Amino acid sequence: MSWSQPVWLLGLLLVPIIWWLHRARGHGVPWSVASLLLWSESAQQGSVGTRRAAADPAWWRRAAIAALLVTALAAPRVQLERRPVTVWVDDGLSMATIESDGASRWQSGLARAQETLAARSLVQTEWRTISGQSLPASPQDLRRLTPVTVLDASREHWLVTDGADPRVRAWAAANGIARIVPVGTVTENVAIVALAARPALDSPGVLDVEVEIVNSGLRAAQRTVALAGAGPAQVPRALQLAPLADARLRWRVSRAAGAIRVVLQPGDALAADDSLTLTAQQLQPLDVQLDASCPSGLRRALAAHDELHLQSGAVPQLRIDCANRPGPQSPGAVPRLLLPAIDDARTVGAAALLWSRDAVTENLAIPLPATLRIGTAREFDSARDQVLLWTDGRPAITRTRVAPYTVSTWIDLEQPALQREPEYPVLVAALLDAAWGRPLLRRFEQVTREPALTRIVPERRIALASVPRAARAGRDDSEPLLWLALLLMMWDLAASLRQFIALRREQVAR
Amino acid sequence: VNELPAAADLAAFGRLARRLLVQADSRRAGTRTVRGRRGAGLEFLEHRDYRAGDELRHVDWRLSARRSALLVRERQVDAGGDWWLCVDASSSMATGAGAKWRVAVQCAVAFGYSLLDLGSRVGLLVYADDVVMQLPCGRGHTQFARLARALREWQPVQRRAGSRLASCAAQLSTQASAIAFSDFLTMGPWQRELAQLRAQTQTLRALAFCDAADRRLPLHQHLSLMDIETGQQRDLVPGAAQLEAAAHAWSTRVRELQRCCARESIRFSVGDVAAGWRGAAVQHLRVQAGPR
Repeated sequence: MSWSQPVWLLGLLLVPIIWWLHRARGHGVPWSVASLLLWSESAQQGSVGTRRAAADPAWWRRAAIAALLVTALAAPRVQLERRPVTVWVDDGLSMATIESDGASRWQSGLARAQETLAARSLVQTEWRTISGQSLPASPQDLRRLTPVTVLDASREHWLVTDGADPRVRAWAAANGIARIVPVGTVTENVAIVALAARPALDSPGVLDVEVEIVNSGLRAAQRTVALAGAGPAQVPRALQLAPLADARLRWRVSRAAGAIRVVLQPGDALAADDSLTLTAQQLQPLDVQLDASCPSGLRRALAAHDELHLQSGAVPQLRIDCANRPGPQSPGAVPRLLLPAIDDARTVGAAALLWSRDAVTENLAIPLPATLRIGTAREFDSARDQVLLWTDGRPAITRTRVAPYTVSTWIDLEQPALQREPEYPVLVAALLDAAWGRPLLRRFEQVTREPALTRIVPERRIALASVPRAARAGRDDSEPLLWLALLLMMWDLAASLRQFIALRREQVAR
Repeated sequence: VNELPAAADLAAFGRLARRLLVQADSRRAGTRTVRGRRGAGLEFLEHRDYRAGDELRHVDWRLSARRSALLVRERQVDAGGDWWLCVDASSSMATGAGAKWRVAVQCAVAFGYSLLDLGSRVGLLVYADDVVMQLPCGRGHTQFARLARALREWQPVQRRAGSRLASCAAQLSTQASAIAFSDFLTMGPWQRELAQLRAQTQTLRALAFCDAADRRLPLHQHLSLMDIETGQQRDLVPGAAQLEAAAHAWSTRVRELQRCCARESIRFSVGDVAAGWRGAAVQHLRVQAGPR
């Protein structure tokens, strides 16, 4: 027989305490008698020898209840058979925590599980992560995937975990884990959980960078946050964080930086979350290729756009074609703005223009000049294209439904009066936003880490209440004890009730 | 308010008591009839020769003339007919729903009625740790009415009132007789108190009342017993052995009372409250007196 929670056996000390409470302290029902002469020790001894007064019969019932409950809480286990064991290993980030002995929780857990298996002479063992994968070679390769939900009932299942993640604890309770191999003692960790960058709106050559840092430990922590790879050296910033508090820090770095790296100093037990790197290449201005036949006003509007870079290179990121026919793109093509040739342009007032629901939804709807010259869309395929702007029941701006997008407009952008309007560059920017798929001025990049994964505080109390009997290696004998304790409690309750009724009767009779 | 015996019951008991009390007094005096004690009473006792110092007003001149010698009339003291009813009003008399107190009061009223009917003067002493109520001796229906009213309205102290019979002794004259009504469950020096009271009285009778409820407890329950008179406590889980021991303790107390009363020539009886006042009182009337 073995005990799953042997510490509960200390509760057996309750038995002598209960005895003392019943015998030494005397908590009897107050009862007035005419004279203690009739109930004195000497009177009883004179009659029945030296026999002592009987103990309160309730004491042993209550002592037995306490003993049974304590024994049941200690979870006695009787070994019935030896079945092959599958050892599931928690593959959460916290298992990479380095403990005071220099080993990671991952390594310690594996070693402890192997020792236990060897002590029980269990050899048919399978080792898996709780995602169902083979064990990675190093704790640095830990990566949590979707946990396995159905375990093999013919095997005994163990779990090596620090219990830091409540989802793992819930998984253990719900999936028939028979034994927990607990690891971990370190509780303090500070982590970088987010790094984000975007072009500064007020300065074209600068990126705004924001870092979020969380103290997942149980005590206040102090760290220095350093930013690397961001052009000119940035001054590290000191940070004081209360337990479970978070903080956001902001920097401005050069847009020329290829990668931004944030590092916490000094490092702590979980080094994997002490740094975070963001690639800023996607935040550089887009290379735009412009057709030579495009109007000069359009060229000027593009040159004034902070997020565009006119070039004539071989691999543009955005292309603008003037006087071309709408049509499907070739594979591997880039987003483009298409300005078909217009030969029947007519003047249309702003009241005759109507943005479609798609345009409004994507924030493409902008204020338009009071008058526009708009031609007739001759080739429009409703299955291929969606209309963004309508005029008199005909499309004025369309976009292909599938990325990379091609935006076609029949608005006469060569119209000199329109090119002098202040809305002209805004209209051009909106057409390019529609082609790119999202607003060019609001581009950002971010790298995040789930804050729950940075919590490394170990939790050893993992409930296995729902483990099915068949999945356990031994028979759990706590249930009969609980039933017996319940029966005794009912007996004690009935006896107390009977005594209460008897007392009431006696009191009424007296 | 205590329920007192009905008038018809008292009258019937009075007839029985008159006969048994006279028989008892006759037996107590051996072969002689009742003889009073000389004193300054009104009742004539006997004639004797004149002795120097006798008052001339006691000379029976008519008889002296016929006998040619001075003879004086002797009278018996009236105190020889005084009876005190000493009723125990300690807290133990109130246990068992007050059955002992109720029967004691009824017995006291019955004996008071009978003694007044016999022409005696009757007084009342209700005592606990000390005398708590006193009704001076008196005769006739008026005294019975006072006696009945006093006993009907009196109740024993519910808690912490002991029973000290000696407190009555100081109130009694040496020529008086007394009847003590008590459960005699005191743990004090009751034997000395009985002897002290006996020495103070011409005749002493004692009625002990027992109630089976005093020797009954709920079985197999952890009780914290408290002596209702002294407040002393003791834990006990009563079983059959404890009930048996309690009965034994009571029997021992009764035997001790009987021995003490026999030694002191006290008429003593034990009356079970279950038999009612009539049973207890009649049983007491039939008790033989021990030698003095």
